[in-house]
Amino acid sequence: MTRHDNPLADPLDQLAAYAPTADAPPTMLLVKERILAHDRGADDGARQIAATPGLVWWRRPRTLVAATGVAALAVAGAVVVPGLTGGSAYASWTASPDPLVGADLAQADRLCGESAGGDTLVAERRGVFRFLVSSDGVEVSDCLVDGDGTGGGSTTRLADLDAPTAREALVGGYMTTWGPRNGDVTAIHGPTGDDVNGVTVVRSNGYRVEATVESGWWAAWWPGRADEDATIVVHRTDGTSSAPIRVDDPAANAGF
Amino acid sequence: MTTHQEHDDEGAGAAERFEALWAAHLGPVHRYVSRHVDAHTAHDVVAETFLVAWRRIDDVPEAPLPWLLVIAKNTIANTRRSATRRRAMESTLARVAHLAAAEPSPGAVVAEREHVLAALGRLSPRHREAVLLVAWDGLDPAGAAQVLGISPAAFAMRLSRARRQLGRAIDEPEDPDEVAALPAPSVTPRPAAAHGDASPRSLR
Repeated sequence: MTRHDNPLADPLDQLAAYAPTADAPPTMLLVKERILAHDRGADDGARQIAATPGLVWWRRPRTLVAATGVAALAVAGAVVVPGLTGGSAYASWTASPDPLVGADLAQADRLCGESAGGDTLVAERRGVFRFLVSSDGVEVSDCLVDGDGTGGGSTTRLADLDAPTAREALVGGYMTTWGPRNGDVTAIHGPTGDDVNGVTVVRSNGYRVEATVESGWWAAWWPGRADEDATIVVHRTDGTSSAPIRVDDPAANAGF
Repeated sequence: MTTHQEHDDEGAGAAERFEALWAAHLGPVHRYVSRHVDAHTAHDVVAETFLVAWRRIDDVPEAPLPWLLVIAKNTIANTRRSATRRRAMESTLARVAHLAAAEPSPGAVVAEREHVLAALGRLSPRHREAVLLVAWDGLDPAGAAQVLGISPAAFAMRLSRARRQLGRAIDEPEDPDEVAALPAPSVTPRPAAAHGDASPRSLR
């Protein structure tokens, strides 16, 4: 129903009808006791505390994906993964990419239009979805095109990115976006060194997503939100692989 | 000169006032913060916001929510400036979509959830925040202006434009092709220096 059907509906009321509940998570209850135990007159001023990025004494624990768990839950090859997709829109999504070439690539380039200007760095297909990473020399853009031709993505400024060593793959962009048709999508990409020939993203639930590596870049995406505890494993031409590296570890990041 | 007894009474009174502040406003503050930062950071920002409130319990105004949200907003800004680790990023619109109720409030005659969210996604970040401060955070124009640090008159003008644009966007028929052609960017870019940032460009 739209306002045409109901001319009295104020747009703010329509938005307010979907207001989230104002329920804080139960973990916040512990915080209250700790605050009350704090001496209000102490010299460690609130400004100083507020400027501290994360007070460890009340941060809830975060778990690190164990390598053994990752192996046990590994998703093989290009098998379609029901239940991983977060909705029927992504039913055809696959954990391993297929190459995107020829007319399919040309059409995806056209559909991404301005958002994918410049040279195409990475092009891949997962089910009906086509995914491009391109650069105009100033920004790196990613663009996901669904089966009906709807596209969108994010951009990262090249100036913010560091160059990897020959054996490294760095995280340059890692972002979840949302659209009304397909819901959440998380894309991750970054530059690779010359000796890198594969990157595996290991999500916090243990699922593995194989990235496409080409033109000195790696890229992957999946339906759903970003995992703070995701790791990447970098594979090299000499047959070796790195230990899992957290994507939020500065050592894996190209932007610092 | 104050006695130990007076100190104790004062402390008990402060604790009571803090308890009341916490009970009434923890949820709304957490909801506001969750719209702007990831879940891990939200936990810390809310905690820090209420720690400031505890320290300044004697300064809490009669209408505390805008005051608390200003503290939260400043804490978020400090957290971003101090960030030394890259976090997974999420567009503001993605956060809003996750937070939005699955079903409209009972009795509300409104457009479909995805359609309203898509319409919200068409607004500029400034206009989007203006309508959310009112529609979701429940602030009156004066309180919303305080949170944004602008005059009530400026906020009234911004809200008026935002409401009009939202209404137009809701009125538009759902058309997948239009979604692909949304103007960019759809959310507020974050400081590149702190995050080496990626910015969402459009709705998927």
